[in-house]
Amino acid sequence: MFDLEQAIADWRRQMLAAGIKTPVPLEELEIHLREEIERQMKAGLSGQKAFEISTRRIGSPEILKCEFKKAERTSMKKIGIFAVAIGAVIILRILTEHPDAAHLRKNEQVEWLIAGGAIVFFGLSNAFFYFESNDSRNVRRWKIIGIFYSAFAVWLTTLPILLFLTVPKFSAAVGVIERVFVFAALAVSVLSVLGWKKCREILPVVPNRRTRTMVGIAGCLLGILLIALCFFMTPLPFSIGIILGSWTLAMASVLGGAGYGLEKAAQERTLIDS
Amino acid sequence: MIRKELVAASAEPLVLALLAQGESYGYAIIQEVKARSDGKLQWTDGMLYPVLHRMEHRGLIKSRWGESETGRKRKYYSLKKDGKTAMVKHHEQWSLVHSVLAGLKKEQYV
Repeated sequence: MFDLEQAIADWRRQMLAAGIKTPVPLEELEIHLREEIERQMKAGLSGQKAFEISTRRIGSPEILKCEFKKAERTSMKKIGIFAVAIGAVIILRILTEHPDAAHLRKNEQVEWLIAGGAIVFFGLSNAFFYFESNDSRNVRRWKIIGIFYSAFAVWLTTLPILLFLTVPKFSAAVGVIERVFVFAALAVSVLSVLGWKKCREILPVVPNRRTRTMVGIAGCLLGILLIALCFFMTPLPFSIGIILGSWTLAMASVLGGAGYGLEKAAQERTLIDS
Repeated sequence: MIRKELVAASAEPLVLALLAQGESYGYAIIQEVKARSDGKLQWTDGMLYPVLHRMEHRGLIKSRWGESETGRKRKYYSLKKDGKTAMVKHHEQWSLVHSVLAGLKKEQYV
């Protein structure tokens, strides 16, 4: 003998097993199912037949779960982007503070930088893990991050260059070799994004998107860490500091593009395989 | 039967347009679309709810729990200000597509 309530309870269990665990969607779906069964039964169908037709119309649990995940992504993406913005403001605030006019002690600045980095990490992981898995979109996002890092490095490297090109005191302190090193670092920063694009042929193909994202985020954070370490090092003579600083920025720029290179390599492989 | 890609693309504008007439709930929205399209526009019933949730996350619509006349729980959806703006945009875009298609069809018979 067909038991409608038992059948609905079994259907609910199937939905839960498929991963529709949040109460609101499941409750809404059950209400819908009951309304449809009621309508079918009023039209003259038996309880069993009405149940079969109604569950078929509602759709398979796997597909529904995927669709609900998409809805979840929209809000997680917003939270992620908001967190990245907050973290970036903290990091920039600390890095752009003049050493003589700093309100915080060095160890407090390091703590704030770590906190800012953690917020950026949380934001990026939320924003990226919940993005729809569309290869070209991921490549574009990582490319923007790579360009941002490169532009940041170029901007910060240009400031001391302007100093030794225009201020006689600094100009005298920086010899030809130092200048070559600094300009080489600047070139590396500018070309880093292009470099990652070209490197896609020799880069390993990481099939798991989550792993690629983690490596990309780790690259970005390592870049921030390098800048922070360089920033907080004991003051060096201008000529050595400028070389070390510019190459640290160049490395940060290169690391910031790691995500782009890996995504590009994976995308190329997908295109070849398909 | 209408292609599934078109059905998916039309879901948001249709929901917005229906909710512009007053608040409604999932089951009623599906029945209304079915009736208005003579059954040609068929959604997989359950697929409407993720669409509604997505639109709610995006701030186009809002929801509240209520009760039907028979005492059954129901989640009612209604349009928000951003939803009205989105509806106008959808309408403009779909009208444009329609007018281009209609113009091309007309030219074939001239």
